[in-house]
Amino acid sequence: MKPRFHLILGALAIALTFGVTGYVLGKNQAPAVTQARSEKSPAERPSNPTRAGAQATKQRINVSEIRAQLEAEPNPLIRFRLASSRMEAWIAANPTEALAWLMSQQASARRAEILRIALNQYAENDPQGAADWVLKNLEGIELNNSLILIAEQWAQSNGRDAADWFLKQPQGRERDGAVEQILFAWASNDPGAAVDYLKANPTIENLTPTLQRAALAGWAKSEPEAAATRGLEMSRAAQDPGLFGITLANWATMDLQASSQWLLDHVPAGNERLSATQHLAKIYAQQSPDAGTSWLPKLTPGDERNTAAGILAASWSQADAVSAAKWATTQSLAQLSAESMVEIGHNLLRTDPAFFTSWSQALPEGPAKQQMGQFIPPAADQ
Amino acid sequence: MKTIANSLIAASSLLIGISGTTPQASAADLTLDGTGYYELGNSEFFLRRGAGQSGRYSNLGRNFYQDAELGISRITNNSFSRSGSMSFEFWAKPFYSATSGIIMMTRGFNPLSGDFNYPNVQTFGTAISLRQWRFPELNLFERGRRNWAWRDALTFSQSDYL
Repeated sequence: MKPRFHLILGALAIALTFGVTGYVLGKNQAPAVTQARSEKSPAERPSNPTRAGAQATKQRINVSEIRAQLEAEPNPLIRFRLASSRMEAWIAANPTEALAWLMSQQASARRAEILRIALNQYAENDPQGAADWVLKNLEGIELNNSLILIAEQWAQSNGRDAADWFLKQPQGRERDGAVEQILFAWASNDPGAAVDYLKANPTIENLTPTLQRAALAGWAKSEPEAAATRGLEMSRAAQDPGLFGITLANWATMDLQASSQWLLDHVPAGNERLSATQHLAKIYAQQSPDAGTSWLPKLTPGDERNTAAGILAASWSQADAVSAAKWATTQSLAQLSAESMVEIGHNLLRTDPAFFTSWSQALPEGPAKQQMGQFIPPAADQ
Repeated sequence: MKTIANSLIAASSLLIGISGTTPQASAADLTLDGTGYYELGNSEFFLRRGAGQSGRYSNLGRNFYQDAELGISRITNNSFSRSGSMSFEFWAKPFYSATSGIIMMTRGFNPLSGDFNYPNVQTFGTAISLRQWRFPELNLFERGRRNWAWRDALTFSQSDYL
């Protein structure tokens, strides 16, 4: 845990840079993280007084006077210092003019610094205006990161307006990422409205599958069973088994045991269950391979269990190749695919070449053993 | 340390999601292999002029930062041809298997000859301090003739306070 001083310092920073976003987010996180959030929430609240101060200043600001003062100052250093002192009030009164003035100045670190402060304040007061400005004036990583934070903040207060507005903007990677963020944040607060929005707009460019996943993932944070049930229906309707698989996986990241049991109890064998077991196998491999091997016997023998066992063992071998390899050759639950065995062998060769040799030689004849016989020893690595 | 050293698993579903929106460049079959991890420092600091990065970006801008260490067992060039320059990146995703996220840190790597790898990758730098719960992810991009192209990702199955 960080010292309290850093908590306060960091929270004040977020108040400055991200406004109320952190607090609103914290308010809506899953119960599993409530403890951590409750520690930082009180310190984040001072962002509101900052905003209130800006509103109060708005009554007194004379924009023409500010502009005249700035344009009359020939020294760029003094000019930026003056701009910095007046920017909060100027943004509150006329953000586009303030930002346009900033952009008309010679590019420098100083300009970038004031611009960022101004933009954060603008997003608090008017997320649509801020998003519009960012889309038109930023690019690259600044566009990506700024747009996601603005979209998230906007979606917390009005997901529908945020989604409508962003979807009218030209398609691009950054815009699409913002829309994905909106559906996730919106569904975290109001899942019914977010999912109904997608139902009412069944073809949103080529984004519908991505947005459905985002909305169901957001829903799974607060009502995982309801999200999984709805996800199952939507997956079947769209013939998109991965939609259900990812919904269940998001539940599993919070409660692997409960999500696994729910799957066994509520979803019959089929494509949706197969997709979900594949995701669960990966998560078991990361979080608890032993629990994963205990989970396998509960799966339907055949494709479902074999596929899950192969993914579990191959993924496990990335972190602990020796244990995974030993398990793969001693277990009798499932038939592992040649691809899975080869991946295990590959990871084993990297970490324990001596054991790889004896392990691979003991394998029964077949495609996996044949392929592993052609592996290049690690001495050839750079 | 406030964080974790964790093992990672390649997210094939993510690969599909991102490759659909990332400009493609001709290039190598590059993968992140084995175990990956990140570690974040105990304290954060404000950098008025941003933190210098390498790879796809030279600076992530004015923000709060924290010391960070990223690692992966191997970055492998599975093709026979030489790769382009690479960018090894730390991302914060809103949910598991999301296709977009906030870019926290980028580190550049020189091109890699065909059929070779960088073993035991360990790189230090400064990452944005978000102070929000997100799903961490390591991504690999390659510089093509015109654009950076996404190549692989390793994703964590647990969210963290980043």
